[in-house]
Amino acid sequence: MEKRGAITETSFAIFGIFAVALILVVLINYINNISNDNDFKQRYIVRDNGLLLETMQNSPGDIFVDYKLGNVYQYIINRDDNSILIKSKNIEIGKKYFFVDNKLIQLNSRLLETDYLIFEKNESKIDIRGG
Amino acid sequence: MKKGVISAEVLVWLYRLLMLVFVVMFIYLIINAYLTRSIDTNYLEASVLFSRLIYGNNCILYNNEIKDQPGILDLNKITENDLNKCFSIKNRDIGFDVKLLSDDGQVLKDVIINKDFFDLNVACNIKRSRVYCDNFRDYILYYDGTEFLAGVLTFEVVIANEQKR
Repeated sequence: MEKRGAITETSFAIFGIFAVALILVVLINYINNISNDNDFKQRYIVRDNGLLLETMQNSPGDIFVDYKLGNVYQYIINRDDNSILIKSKNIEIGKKYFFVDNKLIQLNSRLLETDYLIFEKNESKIDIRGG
Repeated sequence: MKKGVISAEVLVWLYRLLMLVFVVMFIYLIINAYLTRSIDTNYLEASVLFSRLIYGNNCILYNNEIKDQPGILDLNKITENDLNKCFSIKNRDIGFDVKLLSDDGQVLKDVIINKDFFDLNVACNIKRSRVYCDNFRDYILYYDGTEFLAGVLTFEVVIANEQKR
């Protein structure tokens, strides 16, 4: 085999190994996320929290709720676009739920990073904090 | 190595790469089917909205100057302006129609919120529709400014179907 031919063949082999390795890494990471059910858990939690918040806004009385998230999540409520965002530290894109807000009820919440949420409603004020 | 041999090799690699992409796509599709498990909360979302009308503070309940009275509506508060304050719908595809009827069936109030989306209710009966529709009806008391009267509150809601979100 000529020298140039050998180099070309080696390049093909290296390219092939890199391509396969890259695809495998992406696939394993993807499967790993799913096996941990991260995506589903986040979708479930964000929707459950949204419905909980809507329900608390409907309540004529005072309510106190402890909510265990299971893992540590970042929890952000944005009243400008009526959204709740939940995301894991290591996953850039979280899950959002757009709730139907009652603007006449005061809502106190800041960026939380917690595995445990406390919702407290007193009269026309809802306070959300980490446990 | 001859030119023809290189071309053949390129073809073999392209074939291998194509097979690899095919296998990866196949695995991705199987996983994706599992991933798109839906969480069907359509009914819950609709009923929570209806509850806000009958029980929610700072909405359309009658206030006896001490507190809002659950189950008693203030006729004068059933307006588009008041409902928009306690149902702030942003980035959500929801439309609904609130009707208050007197006990003899006369329509006293009829307010539609987010009419553009509510008009999609024509698609309610289509199979695999993009919208979920529901109706709620409850007996209530309402205050017309002078006295308390019995009436019926109906709530027709159209929500973007959970499976399509």
